[in-house]
Parts: sequence; structure tokens; C-alpha cells
Amino acid sequence: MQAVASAIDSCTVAAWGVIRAFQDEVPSLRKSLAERLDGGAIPQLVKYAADDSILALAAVDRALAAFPALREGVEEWAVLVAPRFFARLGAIATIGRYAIHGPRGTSPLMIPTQSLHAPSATISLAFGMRGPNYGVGGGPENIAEGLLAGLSLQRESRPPGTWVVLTAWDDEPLPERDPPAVGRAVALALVDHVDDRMSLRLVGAKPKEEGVARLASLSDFLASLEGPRGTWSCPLEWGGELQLSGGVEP
Amino acid sequence: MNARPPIWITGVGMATPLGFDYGTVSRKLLNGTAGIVAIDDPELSKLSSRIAGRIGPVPTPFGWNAADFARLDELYQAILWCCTGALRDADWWDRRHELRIGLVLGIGAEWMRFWDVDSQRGGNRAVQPRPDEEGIVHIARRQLELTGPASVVSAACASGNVALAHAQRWLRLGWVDLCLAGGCDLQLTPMTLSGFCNLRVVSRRNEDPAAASRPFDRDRDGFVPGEGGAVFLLEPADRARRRGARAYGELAGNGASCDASHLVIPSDNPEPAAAALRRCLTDAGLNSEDVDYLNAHGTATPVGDVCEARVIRTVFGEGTDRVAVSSTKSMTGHMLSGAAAMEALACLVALQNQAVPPTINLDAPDPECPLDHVPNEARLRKVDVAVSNSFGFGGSNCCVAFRKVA
Repeated sequence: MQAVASAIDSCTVAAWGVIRAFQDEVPSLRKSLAERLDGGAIPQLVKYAADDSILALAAVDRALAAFPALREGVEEWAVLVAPRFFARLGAIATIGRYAIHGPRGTSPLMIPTQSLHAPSATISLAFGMRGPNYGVGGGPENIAEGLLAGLSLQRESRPPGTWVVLTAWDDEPLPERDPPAVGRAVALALVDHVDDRMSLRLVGAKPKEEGVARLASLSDFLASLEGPRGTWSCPLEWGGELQLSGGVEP
Repeated sequence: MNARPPIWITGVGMATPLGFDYGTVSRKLLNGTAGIVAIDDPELSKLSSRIAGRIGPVPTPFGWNAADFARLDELYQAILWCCTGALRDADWWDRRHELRIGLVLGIGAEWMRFWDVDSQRGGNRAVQPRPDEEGIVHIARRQLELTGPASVVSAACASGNVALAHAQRWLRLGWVDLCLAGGCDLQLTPMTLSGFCNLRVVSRRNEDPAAASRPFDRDRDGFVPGEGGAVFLLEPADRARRRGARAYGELAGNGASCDASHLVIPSDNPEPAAAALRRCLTDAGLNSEDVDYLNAHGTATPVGDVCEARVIRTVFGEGTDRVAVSSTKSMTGHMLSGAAAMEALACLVALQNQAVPPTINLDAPDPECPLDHVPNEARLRKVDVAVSNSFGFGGSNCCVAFRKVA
């Protein structure tokens, strides 16, 4: 494992969940979430959520399934979701309907489900989490923005925990795309320092690197069969980097 | 955790339905001037609501060629105007390269707006993604030559407060030396307006735009959409004091929560939003008795105003009647993800002028909203502490507190 430079700030990653789904698999994922997350408004919530929100919700669900000890006590957790080009498919459909039908063609659910806050709101509603809740990024820098937001919230405001969920498509989803686009979501459960089995660090004083992190590389890092080992890095446009380090014995 | 040095607001920039400079906006807020106008776009003539708080053409900021600036997207124009204004107002513009300055903006649906506006102009960017697409704050960061981190946050109508909280964290953690923070929204597109109309949350008082936004009034019938925003330069007090900077006020604290109840309708349980307000006061080291003025979220929806009144009474209890409450959305309309930044500005105006901006059009206060309203005329009173409530779609609540700088 490469040496970890001294961290400016860091926290423990207590759990994680990774989702990878083809665009045409999202409807079945939606259906299974609606069935599994039983509750009054959840079927409607899931029915109308954007595909990206479904991926984000499924990633948190998977993290909670893999780390069941977290299930109790997440009521006051914060939820931040940083999608990349959120709700493009929904936007295409909405723009198309408006072009044909004018104002009456616009769904009243467009604003509540296709704005940047929607995926974090969907997760909070589905799991009853009442901590701080907001969307982050929304563009190509979503991974760095989401991780920075989560780390700063957890370190400074100290909720019991913070979900940071990142979503992206390997290639942007389009209607009737063939082959279908691959969507990904990664959910990380940040808590104050418990141990160093998995940690998120902001490391400063590094030379500026070009380019942005890809969600595929983070999801591959987290999904390795033996568990995350080594360090995954996300360069920051202002210098320094974010590092996710796993595999260190406590 | 680092110590918590006080953070001052030493610069402001704004693009609002009331104007583009602090003097004008301050005067209009205290005079109770409505910035709501009829929308004359023929495409919108069939909408049930045809009124809005519009900003009009954005002036060219210092250092820009007017023709080049005029070619930019209007949202980007407003952001550049606000950021440049805040940096210049704080006297950091010429020395902005010397320090690591961050940028956090609340923008509710940047890409949706981008695709929507592009399609109206005959484009097809939603279905033709380009590899060089870049988020608006990152373009602004680069063009303003800032060297700190940049980010967009969105909690719908609470986005501006979330941005202020976000920036406050970065400063407290020492990740940045200074930070620009605020919110801005230019979402009054035909598609978005029709979305709000079809959601049945907007006022239909088209015949009388200036009287349409009526928070806490018995005859309110929904919010009036608005646009624009404000950006603040946040600076650690010790640095600001050393250089003799003017302080509009101290950003004293923030607190947030989620109703986890409904995507649109505020929870009838006041506790989650009350938790955000209490966390804000705790974070600021304040007791509820310390609060002199509360700028309400006060959108003028029948349900929302009643819910907010319950939240305020839950937190302030018997002291509720000692807190002056107003909603400046009565003048600006609901500036969506720019709203909280506008209302932070209203809090600073109250601190600076020792006067509470009114809720205009409040002719018959709703008995279900029993608060110490400031109806129709500003109230002169001591304002040492002002708090701004912001509650967004999705149930996101974020409150921020400001303290007068002696």
C-alpha cells in the first residue's frame, strides 16, 4: 500500500454499498425496492423517482444489508447525494412532452423529482433519516464535491453519521440507447473515527493533478472480492487529493 | 476539531428583484417595496400564474467587456455579478490571488435548467452530451481566478442557507482562507413555471402582482416565483479586524434537518424543522431569548405558513411574542434556490439598520399563524441577533443565525 501523506482531515468509513446496473435493469431494481422498503408512501416515492435516485437508494439499501449493525440508529444521520448529470433521462422526457403539449404537458412531479435535492430527499424519506439532507455537485466534479461535502459535514457538524452517495453513468443514458448505459452508485457511511479499517482522508500539499475521478474506479476499488485494500485517490482541482484507504488492520 | 473563530461577512453581491446593489435593496426592503411584476411572455399566457419577481438584465461586472458579458448565459451572468460584487465590496478583488478562496453556491437544478434553456434555443444538449461540459461554479472559479475548492449544493428552497453552512464548515476546518457563499436561481423558464402551476403551489392573483405575495395573510393563495440571488464573502473575524474591514454581521451558526415526511408538503409535525432551528442556535452559542428578528421561510402557501408558525412556537415557546417575524418573500417573491441568500441579506439589513423589514400585503394575519408579525411597515427595534429559516422541497430544513458586529 502506498504511504499515506499526513491528512488535513479524515473520518472512518463504517459501511459501503455498490450498485452497478444497466439502464434497462433500473425498472426491476425500482420494483424490488418498492417491495422491499415497505411503508406507506414508499411505493409512490420509488415509482416516480429518477433512475439516478433509484441507484442511490439501492446503494444505501445494499450498504445497510451488508452492515446490518448500522440499521438501528441511522434516524439522525445526514444524507448527501452527489449525482453526475442528474435526471438526464427525466429531463429529456419532460422537454419532449413540453414541446408537444406545452405547459399542460409538464408533470407536477418534475421539480420534486428531477432537481438536485431529490435523491437525498428520497433516501431520507425511504429510511426515515432526519439529519441534514442535500444534493451536491451535479456535474462532472461530483465525486470530489460529494466526498468533500461529506467529510466536512461529518468532521465539523458531527451528526451521528453521514451517508455520502455518488452516482454516475459510464456513458450518459439516452432513450433507446443500444447497448444500454451502465449506471453506478456508491454509498459510503461516514462516522467519526472508530478505527482505520477504512478511512476517507483529505490530503493537502500535493501537486495539482489534471482530470476528474471516475465512479467506475471507486466502485471497482470497493467491490474487490477480498474487500477494499490499498488506496483509491481522487485528485482535487485546487491541489491535494481525497484518499479512500482500506485494508489496514485496526 | 479546530477552534471556532467568529466568521464575518465582509462583502455582499446581489442580483435581486429589488435591485443589484446593497443600498437600493436595503432601502426597498425597509420601505416595503414589491418587486413582483406581470410576466408578459406570450408563451406563458395560458399559465394559471403569470406573475413573478424578475431581475431584468444583469449589469456588466467590473473587468468585463459588456459585449462579451452579454453573450453569457443569464444564470452565469448573475453568478459572476454577485461574486465579483462580493469580492470588490470586501476589498479582496485585487488581492484575491493571495489567499485560498472557496466558492459554494446553492443552485437547485443547474443541469435541468441548462438542458431546458438550450432546448428553447433550438439546442439538443440533453441528448447530445459533450465531453467538455463543466459545472457552472467550476467555470466561475476558473474565470474569477480563485484557488480554493468550489461546489454546488442544493436543498431546494433552502439551498442558500446550506451553502452558507457549507462554507462556514470549510472556514472552521481551515480548508479555505476566505469563502464566497450564497445562492442563485434563474429558473423562471416556461417549463419550470408550468411545473409549479401544475403542482398548484403558486399564486393566481395575476390582476394585482404587487399584492400577490401574502405570507401569513388569511387571503394568501400560494407563492409567487422569483429569481436571482446573493453571494457573501465570508472571512475569519481576526483577519477582517486586522485589515479594518467593514462587517455586515457575523455568520454565527447553522443547523439542518430533514422532515423525512413528504417530497413537497411540509411535515405537520413541527419537531424536525424545530430541530434545525435549535441546532442553529446551539451552533451559534445562542439561546432562543437572544433572537430579536426571525426572517421566516414564509412562502405564502396555505399549508407551509401554518406549519412554520408551529415550528417557531415550538422553539420559542412563551417567548415567541418577543421575536419579530417577517417574510421578505412578500417583496421579492420566492427566489427558489436563491431565496435563502436573499433572506440572509435581509437579516444583514436588519442588523445594520436596527430595523426589521416588513411582511407586505399582511392585511389580515391568519389566526393559525400567531406570531409577532411586522406587517406592511418596517419596525425600528434593537436587532443584535437575526435568524433565517429556510425549508425546502424534500423536507430539507436549514437555519442560519447572524450576530451584530460591535
